[in-house]
Amino acid sequence: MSKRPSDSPGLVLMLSGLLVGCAGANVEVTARGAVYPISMSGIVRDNSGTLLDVHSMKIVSGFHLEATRVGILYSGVTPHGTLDISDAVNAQVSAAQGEAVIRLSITVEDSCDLVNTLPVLNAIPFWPGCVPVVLDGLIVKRRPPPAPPPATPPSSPADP
Amino acid sequence: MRGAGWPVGERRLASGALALAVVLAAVPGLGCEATTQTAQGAPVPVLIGPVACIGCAPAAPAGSALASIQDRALARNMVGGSNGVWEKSRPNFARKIAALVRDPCRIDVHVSRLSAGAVGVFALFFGMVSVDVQVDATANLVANGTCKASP
Repeated sequence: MSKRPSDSPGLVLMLSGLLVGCAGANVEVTARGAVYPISMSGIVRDNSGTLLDVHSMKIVSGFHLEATRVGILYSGVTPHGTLDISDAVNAQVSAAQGEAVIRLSITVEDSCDLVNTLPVLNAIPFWPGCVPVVLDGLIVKRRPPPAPPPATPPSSPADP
Repeated sequence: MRGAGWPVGERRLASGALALAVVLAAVPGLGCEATTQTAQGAPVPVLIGPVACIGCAPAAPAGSALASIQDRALARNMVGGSNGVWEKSRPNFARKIAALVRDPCRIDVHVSRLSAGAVGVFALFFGMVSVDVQVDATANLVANGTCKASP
């Protein structure tokens, strides 16, 4: 006579355990090596301390960066859990001949939701969860100061 | 084989597969969640990184922190049995800064920590998807801060 699962609590516990799990990841965003100012608002200062808003600057390009970090051990450990955006900022601002990044936003997208919630598999400690991060902003530079009005030539008395 | 039914082994396999299918079918019911953290609308620079202004060299924030600000943008979706709960908090970072800063001309906000996380949980008849972006920042006095360009 074969044993029913209810006769074996260990088996029931093991099967139940397969239906209890979680997965995910965490990431810390830094910009320690940036050589341009990065602002999450639409405002930045120039080197005289003056506030410049988006209207007093010229938008030269958009800033965009996507990255995904993978976590294990039920989201408790994320190898490479720091996302340094410095290189991307320096490269994109330099390429656009800009001077700063403003309106930087950070979005966690939904593309990892299925992987993170997958039943049975996310009960495995080394099942990889993930966090997909998208950063968007505007690359701006100061408007050149308005050119002085052209000097009007003095009217010649010889003019008719 | 007894009667016209399936063999016992196959019946068990079929019922196991059915149970798994029921569990897997609950996953799409969780839906997908995304969230965004921003400081658009804040009246002062909200700086990430060591460069405080256009043309400035990288440096640590000057002066002591006047105040600290925290905010969390969160989207969470939980399903338990036939009940679902959705929770979505919009970012209030810009509003918190605006409420705190009295003199925007002389204040900068420096982000000290910006972190994002995503986690999914499945436990028998309960499921959860949660994504969040947490920001910690300090407001600092800017010695030469001004709102108007010097002539």
